[in-house]
This record gives sequence, structure tokens and C-alpha cells, in this order.
Amino acid sequence: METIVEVKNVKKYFRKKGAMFVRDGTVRAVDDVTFTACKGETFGLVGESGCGKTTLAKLMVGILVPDSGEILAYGNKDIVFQDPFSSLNPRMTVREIVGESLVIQGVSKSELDIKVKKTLGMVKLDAALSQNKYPHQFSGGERQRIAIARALIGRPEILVLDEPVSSLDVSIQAGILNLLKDLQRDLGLTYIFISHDLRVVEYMSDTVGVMKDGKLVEIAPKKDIYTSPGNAYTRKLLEAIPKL
Amino acid sequence: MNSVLEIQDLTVSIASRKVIDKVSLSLEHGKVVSLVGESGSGKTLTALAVLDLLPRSAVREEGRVLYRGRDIFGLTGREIRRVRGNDIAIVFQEPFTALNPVMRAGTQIGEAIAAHTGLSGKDIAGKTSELLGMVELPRDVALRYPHELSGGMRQRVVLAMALSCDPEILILDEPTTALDVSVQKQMLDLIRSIQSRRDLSILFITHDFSIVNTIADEVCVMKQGKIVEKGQKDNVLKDPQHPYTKKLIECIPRLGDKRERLPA
Repeated sequence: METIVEVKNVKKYFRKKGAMFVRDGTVRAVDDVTFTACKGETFGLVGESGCGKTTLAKLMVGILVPDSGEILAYGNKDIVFQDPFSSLNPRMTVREIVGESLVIQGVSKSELDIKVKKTLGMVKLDAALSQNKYPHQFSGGERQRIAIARALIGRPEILVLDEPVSSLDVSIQAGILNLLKDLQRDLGLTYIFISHDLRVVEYMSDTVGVMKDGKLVEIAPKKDIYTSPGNAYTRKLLEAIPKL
Repeated sequence: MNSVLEIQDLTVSIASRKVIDKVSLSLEHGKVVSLVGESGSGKTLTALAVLDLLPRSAVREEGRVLYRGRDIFGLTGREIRRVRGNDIAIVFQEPFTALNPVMRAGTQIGEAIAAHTGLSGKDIAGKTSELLGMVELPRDVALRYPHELSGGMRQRVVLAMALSCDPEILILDEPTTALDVSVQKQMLDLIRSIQSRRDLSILFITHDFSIVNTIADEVCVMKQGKIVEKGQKDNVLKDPQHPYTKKLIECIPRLGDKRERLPA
């Protein structure tokens, strides 16, 4: 299996300003994290809020720089954030949002039109109907499709998905998960899929990493995570899942 | 049958579109009824209608909401304000917007107590402490501001406020949707334990059937303003009749899921 992402001993600490009567401290947001992801596969990261998942996501696409350690990626990367309302500029049309990175690269208008239309088609949005509208005119699920299109237009090989379905209804969530699976199959994408919901991570992933307090406490093929979790914290996450 | 809340043929329209369409449901004393459906199905509007809090643009076409046999819509302003909070309390999805960011948690709980009971001074402080204990928060949370609390703690503070005047009915509108799965479980466990200890009747609104399974006795499935299926939770989960109900149950991934696609 061909390795496409290597995360080696990555650390990212933040200085925390203490509040009144509280001393300043250090938050070890990402604390010596190591894993590899294989081409065309999904590496799932699960953990509760505050465990450092989003910091790790930002490190992986270069929004943040690690204090130490290294991240090697053999391919272009892009990211999709949790909340498709705050991640899309409300004053830009869908066409401008999705095409922005190409405009910056100086792509011609005619080529831009073609690519925007094609990319919107890939996320199952009708370009003619949607490209001149603004984000608020769409539902949460549609907005997340727009965010995915924006990430896809630069033809990334690696997509970091940070809680891409957490703010959506379960039925809308299902549609986005299906779409992500289709895109992965058709484009050979590699996903780093981040969520607090072990059901969703397990459904999407080939390998699952469990993160707690900045550390990866367990990494295992997905079937082992729920049949024989090796870590007490993983078991706790499993037990929290509402039965159905 | 001992129903404390009864919605009968409620129909509400906004801009001449029916957003609640002949909705009938009944909440029996001490039970948890779950209203489940996707966003936009009319769940929250139904909750608001129960407290006569529908937005101005909404027109009530027909139907009644009976609280202990009395029609909510027939009450005077004074009477309905007594019902809100005292008899029927509501908790909304987003705990951050429900709290005042510049007021300490304890002050906000105290304000709710003062507004609905005759208590003052030391008694309010005592009751605030008691409520914090009830929602399993440490007492010193009273001194903290909302931004200093986690999402789960904030939602507990809002729950404490809702419980401040011993309501008989609690309406919970997606109270755990903004929370992580593990925090969600703690919150659901807490709601269940308070419900049984205080014999509360709860209308629980959610889009997630795995939460319905955890919390509810009965379930009403709502789609585009209509109740398309209702029944005992176990029956509906085991043998859903309406295709929409089936979809809502099956769209959730399970552990060890072998399906390539989910119904969406």
C-alpha cells in the first residue's frame, strides 16, 4: 500500500493566557502524534471536542506550523470545515466561492466557467441553478456540498475533512457520506476524516485513530476498533454511542 | 388516559403555506414523547405553538393545544405567562445563544427563579445551589460566565433554569444536537434520571432516531408539517410503517456497518 501522508512526532503547543486568579499555562493541543495514511484510503480520527483534532487538521494542510516533528504529504491537500455557514463567505456567490482559488492562479474566465460547472456537478449541485446564488440561499447539506466543491476544484489528492457532517441532520449526513464515498472511488482521493462520532468515522474509514488530550491513544484497522478496542478511552467512546 | 398536554388538529401556515398540518399528539403524565423529523419539518414550530410563541408571520388556521384540559390559545396574556416556565418550560438546541454572555451562570439561574417564584436573597442562592446539584454541576459553576463553560455544561445550566420553577412539562428542542456523542450520552442519562425522579412529562424534539431509542416512550414522526407515523417507540423502531420513518432509522451508520450506501 502506497503511503501518501506521513505524520511524524508532530507537536503543537499553545500558550494559554490565564484568567483572573488562574495561572498561564500550556495547552498540548497536538502532542507527539505519528501516523501514516495510504493512497485512496480513509484515515479516520475520532475524539471529543478539545482533544486536538482540529489543530491536527490545520497542521496537515499548513494553516498551522508544527512546533516540532514533520508532516510529509505526497500530493496536493485541501480541507473542508465543520460549519458550512461560517466557512463560506456570505457576500460571495457560489461561483466566486468555488472558483476563487483558480482566479488567484490566473485561470482564464472561460476555463473557470467550465471547471466551476464541472466541479459543482461532481457534488451533485445544478450549476445553472446554483452558481449565482449566495450561501444563505442553500440548506446546510447543500452548503457543505459547496464547501466540498471548493476543496475539489484544485484537484487535491488528499482531503482533510474536519467534522464535515457534524452540524447536519442524520438524513442529510447520509447524503454527504454517500457523496464522499463516491468521490473517493471516482477520483482516488485520500481522506483524513475527523469526527466525534465513532459510528461515522468507523463507517467511512479504513484505519481509525483515537485521539485524547492531544495524543493518539489507539490506531487500528476499523474492524478491530469496535470488535476489540485496545484502549479504555476507545471503549468509553464506544459505550457512549446511542444504540439503535 | 391521563394526558397533560394534547395537541388537536393543529394547523399553522406561514405565507399561506401549511407549516404545521393537522398535527395531533398527546403527552401523558410522566412519559417522554419524541417528535422526530428533519430540519424544516415543523418540529420547532410545533413546540413554539404549545407555548403560544409562534412568530408573528404564522397564522393559526385551526386546532387546539390543551394543557390540563385548558386551551392555551384561550388564555389571557397574564395566564399564558404563568403557564410558560411555571408549568411548561422549554430548552432550545444551542445553549450558547440561550445564555446571556455577560452574566454569571448563577445569576441567570437566580433570575429565572426570581421571575417565577416569590423567593428572594438567600433563598434564591440556596435554590440555585440545589438546581446545580440536580443537573450534576459543581456549585462553583454559579460564578462562571457562559464562555468559561463547555457546551455540555452550558446546556446543563439552561436545563437548571428550565427546572427552576418545577415545571410539569419540559419541552426539549434538540438539546443534545450541538454536543459530542459522549457528552450527549451524559446529558441524555441526566434528563432520564431527572425525568423519573421528578415525574416530568417531556416532549423531546430530535432528528436522530438513535436518540429517540435512548430517551423516548412514544414517538411521532413529522414530515413537511404532518405527523406521518406515531406509536410506541419499540413498535415504530421494530416495524416502521412509513417509508420516511424507515429512512430516518436506516440513514444512521451503525458500528460494523457493511452497507456501501446509506438511504438519503
